[in-house]
Amino acid sequence: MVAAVQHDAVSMFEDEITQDDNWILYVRNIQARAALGRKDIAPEYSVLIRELGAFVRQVSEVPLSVQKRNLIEEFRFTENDIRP
Amino acid sequence: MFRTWLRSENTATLQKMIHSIGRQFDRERVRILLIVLPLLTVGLSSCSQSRSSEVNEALRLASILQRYAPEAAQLLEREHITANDLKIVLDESLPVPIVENGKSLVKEENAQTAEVEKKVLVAGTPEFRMRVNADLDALSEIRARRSDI
Repeated sequence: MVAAVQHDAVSMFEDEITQDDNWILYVRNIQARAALGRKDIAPEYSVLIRELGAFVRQVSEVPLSVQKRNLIEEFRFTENDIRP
Repeated sequence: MFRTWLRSENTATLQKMIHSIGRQFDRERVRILLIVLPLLTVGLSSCSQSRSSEVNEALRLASILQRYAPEAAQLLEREHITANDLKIVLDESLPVPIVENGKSLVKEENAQTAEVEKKVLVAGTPEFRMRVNADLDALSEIRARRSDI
C-alpha cells in the first residue's frame, strides 16, 4: 500500500515534469524557427496551443492530496499524526 | 451370541487395538500441534512486526506528502498562470488579415499575395520574444523545483 502510494506520487511528478519538458521544447522550437526568419505558422503552434488550452481549462485536484488521503484513510491517521 | 462374542478374547484384542490407535492418534495430534504452534506464533509475530513497520513507513510518507503538498499546489497554480499567459501570447501572435479602416490593404485580384500577407506572424517582434522568454523561464523554474522535490 505504502509503496503503491509512493509510486503514485512519484508518477504524478514525473508526468508533470514530462509535460513541462514538452512545452519548453515546443516554445524553444518556435523561437528557433522565428529566429531563422520563419514567417508562417510553425508546426508546434497548434499542438502547444491545444495542450495549453486543455491544461488551463482542466480543474485539477490539489497535488498530493489524493495520496495523502489514501494513507490517512487506510491507516486511520489524524492530521496531528502526520504533521511534519 | 453377541454377548459371548463381546467377552471373547478376540474382542478384547480388538478393543486394545482401538485404544492403541486412539492413543497413537492423540500422540500424532500433539506432535502436529507442537509443530504448528511455534510456526503459527512466528508467523503471527512477523505479521504484526511487518504491519507496524508498514505503519511507520506510511506515517513517514504521509508526513513527506503533507510537507510538500502546499509547494506542489503553488507550483501548479503558477503553472496555470504561465500556461494561460503563454497561450494568450501564442494566440495573439497568430496571423491576422492586414486591414486599414475596415478594408483589406491587399486588392482582391492579388488574392495569392493576400494569403502570403495574412500569414505574417508577430513571432519575431521583441515584445513577443520578451513575453515568451518570461514564460519559458517560469516553466523552467517550475520544472526544476518539481525535479528537486
